[in-house]
Amino acid sequence: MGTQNNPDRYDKIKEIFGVAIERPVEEESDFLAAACGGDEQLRREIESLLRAHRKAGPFLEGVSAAAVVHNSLNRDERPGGRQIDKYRLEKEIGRGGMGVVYLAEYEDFRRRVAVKLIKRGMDSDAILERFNREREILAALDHPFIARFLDGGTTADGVSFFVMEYVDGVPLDEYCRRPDAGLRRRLELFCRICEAVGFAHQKLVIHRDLKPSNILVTSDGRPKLLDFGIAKLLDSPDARETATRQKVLTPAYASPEQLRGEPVDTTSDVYSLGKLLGEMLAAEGRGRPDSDLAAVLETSLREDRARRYVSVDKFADDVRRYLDGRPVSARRDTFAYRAQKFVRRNYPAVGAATLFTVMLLAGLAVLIRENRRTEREHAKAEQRFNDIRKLTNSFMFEFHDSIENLPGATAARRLVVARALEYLNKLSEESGGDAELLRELATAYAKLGRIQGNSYYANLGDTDGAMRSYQKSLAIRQTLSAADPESVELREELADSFEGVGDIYYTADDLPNGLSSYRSAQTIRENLARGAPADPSYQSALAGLYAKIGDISGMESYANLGDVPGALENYEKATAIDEKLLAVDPENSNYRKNYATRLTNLGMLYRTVGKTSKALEACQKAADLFRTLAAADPNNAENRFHVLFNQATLRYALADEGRIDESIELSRQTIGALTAMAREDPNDTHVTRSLGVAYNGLSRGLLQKNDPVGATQNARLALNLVEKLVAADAGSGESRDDLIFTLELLAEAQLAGRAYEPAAGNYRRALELAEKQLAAGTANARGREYLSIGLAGLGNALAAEGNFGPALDNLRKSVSIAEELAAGSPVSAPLRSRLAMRYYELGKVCDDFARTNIGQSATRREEARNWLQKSYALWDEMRKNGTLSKVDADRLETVSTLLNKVSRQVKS
Amino acid sequence: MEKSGEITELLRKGDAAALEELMPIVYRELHRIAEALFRREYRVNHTLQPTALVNEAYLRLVGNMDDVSWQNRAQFFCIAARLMRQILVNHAVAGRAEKRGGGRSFVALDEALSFFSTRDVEILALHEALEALAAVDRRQSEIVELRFFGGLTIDETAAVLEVSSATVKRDWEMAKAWLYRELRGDY
Repeated sequence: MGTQNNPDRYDKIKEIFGVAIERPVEEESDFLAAACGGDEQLRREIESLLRAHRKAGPFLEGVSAAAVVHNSLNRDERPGGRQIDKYRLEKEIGRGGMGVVYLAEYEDFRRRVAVKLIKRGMDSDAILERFNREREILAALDHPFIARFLDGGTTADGVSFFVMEYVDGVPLDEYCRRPDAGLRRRLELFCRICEAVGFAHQKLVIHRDLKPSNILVTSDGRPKLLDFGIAKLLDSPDARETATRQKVLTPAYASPEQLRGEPVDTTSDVYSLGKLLGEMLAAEGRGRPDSDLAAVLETSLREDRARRYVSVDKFADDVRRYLDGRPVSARRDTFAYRAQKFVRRNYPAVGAATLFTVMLLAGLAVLIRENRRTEREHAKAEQRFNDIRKLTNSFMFEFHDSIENLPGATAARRLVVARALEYLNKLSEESGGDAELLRELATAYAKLGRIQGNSYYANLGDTDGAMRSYQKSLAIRQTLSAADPESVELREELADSFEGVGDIYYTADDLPNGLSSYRSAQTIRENLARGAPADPSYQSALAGLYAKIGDISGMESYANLGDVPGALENYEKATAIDEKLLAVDPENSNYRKNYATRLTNLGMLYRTVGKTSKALEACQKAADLFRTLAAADPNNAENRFHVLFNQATLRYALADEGRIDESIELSRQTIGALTAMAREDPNDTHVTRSLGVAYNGLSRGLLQKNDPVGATQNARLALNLVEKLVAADAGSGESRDDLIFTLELLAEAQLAGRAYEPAAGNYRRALELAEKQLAAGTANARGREYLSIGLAGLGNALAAEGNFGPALDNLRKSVSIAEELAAGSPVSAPLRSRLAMRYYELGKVCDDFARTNIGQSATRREEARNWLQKSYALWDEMRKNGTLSKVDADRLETVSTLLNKVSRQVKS
Repeated sequence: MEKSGEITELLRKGDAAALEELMPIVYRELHRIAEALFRREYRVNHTLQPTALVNEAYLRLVGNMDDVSWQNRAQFFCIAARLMRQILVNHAVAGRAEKRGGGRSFVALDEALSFFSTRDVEILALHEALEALAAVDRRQSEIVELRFFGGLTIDETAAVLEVSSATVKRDWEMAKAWLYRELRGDY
């Protein structure tokens, strides 16, 4: 249509239009004919505007943006005051600590619902905020025994409300008092309640306020749990402390930790269920529970939550056992209970290890004492000395190695090795420098170091301790090898120690020292391999080392030195050896595992250099290999880790190719598997970290799907885990990196979810940590990348607050770091992509600034154009050389649109 | 309002640097008011009339207007109206990105304003149309900005722009028609 873009002509139109609207409609035609003087186009244009003017009526009139705000204020308020949002209250049906419950009708569907109005004085802002955060989780609680959560919000005058499925039933306590509610019936009902609570726990929702009045029983005897998740909304641990804040709990049913105000977990619900069961059993005139039930109750009500039933399911199991006349687990003796606490009962070997250790300890103490006695008994003592040594070694090597790959055995393994070490140390002192004994000692230290903190294996996250142990083993082996340079075994062991020390430097984020240790090991291993080319063990060890050097040089998923070509070169060497080894011995599962692992990493590197489809191909090939390996040996913990890592990489590769749904699905699978593993061995930091990584992956995927709520939730879950890791092992640079990364992801999710203040807070926290690392000299390319990301994020958050000056400062700093990083690693596609992103953000904020700044908008707009051009040029170049991922292709389009607009404005 | 002295000072100076300093303060205040409204901190019978947010912000930030020259006061209203527009547009842009599954939003947005998205006026379309209008008639687009986003009356707008009320009225009618046609199709 004829939008007139010529200002002069527009003035003419304006003049005629201004007069025309003052005249009666019937004169319009004549007036226009005269005024336009035969200019038909002009006339049509004005007529069109006059028609629009008549139609426009109240358009923009009497309604300012402010008025729109105000009108929305009045909208919910209906006369009579019995309307809450879309719900018409009918009658009060309950009343409790939190507020009053009404039977209500949903205005559109005449559906009956229960509306709970929360007492005034509770912090309605915080409730609403939490509600928005929890909404999806609550909606996911779809279970026949849980009253559906339907809606919630806050009314015009600050009353928070929640809407639930209306349940026609009687409260649990009332039901239990009925004569027909016999013991069996009550216990069966209780098991159903547990089923519902257990279901919610699986969805990561804790009830926190279980009590008889929150459970209704319908006429067909089914329980319905009310208020699931509500207590958390009302009393969240991260709630701002206010003077008026009220604790939401019912003291009679609250667990000791709740009463102390500590964080609650699923075992808090176990406690409340115990109280509930007690009440159900004690219902008027029913007598006391027998001893088995009493034991069950006692177990659920333990003060120390670690000694309660570990889950609601276990609790219900015992009640069911009682119903079936089987012995209840609560009655087992305490020794077994404690032993089980230490080692899970699925792995009897580990339990035996503990016992064995205890026996060995006693035996050795006696032997060592005897050893010191008299010269007369010297010969006998020496015999015993050798016995101990043999026993200790067989214990350390055969036994330890046999349980090494069992999930859940990490803590037991440390005990085994630490004890063995203790004895070897004692023996070594006794023997005064016996070389063989020293060699065994070095081996024990190396093993201990590995268990303590070598993140290539299941470990306990004690980096400092691991470094001490590995250094001891290295020192001993250096001495031994120097004394006997021809010994191939000693050289190989020396290489092991160098590599182990390198691993720990790596874990501690000291990359230059890590690389130099690896290089020391490399020299030895290359010599060994050259000396015996047909020996596959040297080849295999060398391939493993090349892979590690590749990781530390430039593997994006770890802290690295930013040397991607170096990484690629080493991975190519490693996989070439793997292929040779497999050609000779195709069925060797170890070789296959190594090959699959390195293929995954190679895929990662392909991704780094922008070969996204090749990356996906390598990862999928590796995934196939892993599937067959896992099927052949399902209990192998290490394999399971590799599978998980492969999934993480595959997730990235899928996301790059725009296959976000598959990527999200994969994250969810990984989280499921890892959660099970974390239950088996809560001490294993490798599992905890992988779980954190997986939550991060899910969060990132959800962010890409524009689900900031889900992204925030999952980033928060990741943050909890990572903070735990940092608290447990302050020496691990990896955990600190994870913390920074996770904080930035959380902030990004919050930013996308418009919670810009918390976002800015988290960016600041991340920046503080990143800067601290830089100041301490422990930062690497990755650390500077986090710095750049954090600065950009903070800039975006500040810009959203209208704080454009500081926003631009931060974004410019971020850009210059990103420029340095990209220049330092010219092959890295992700770094270039990130730089293009930083340019875009800076350009975008300049443009936003231009729109709000009267004085300097032209300058700002030019600056915006400048940055947007850079962003466009960079991504466009990647497109041309085939390194642009699908996701970036979309971004390129966004930049292009904005750039066009800004360029037009600059010209006009 | 603890900041009011400082702001009055900035307004009195009225130079570009002072205005730049002023902007984030005004922006935050607008946000705050909008959020407060959304959270229903105001009771229904609260004295707040459909007065402009901008006026409200002005009163909170500056308080006494006597100290400030009319010209600088006008500048304040211009800034505030423009910022208000920015707040709403940022919000709308992100909302649209979400709906279309487009790229992630780079601007942090204000949840408090989410109810705008389904309201009578599609803010984003209006914003774009206003930009087009500005290309042919800057004053008309300014009038719409001040009136719709700034909530000023015809007379106030006339005073801010230093033209007669009749001119504002005529331009306003024309701009309305022009925008309406732009937004709702051909007439």
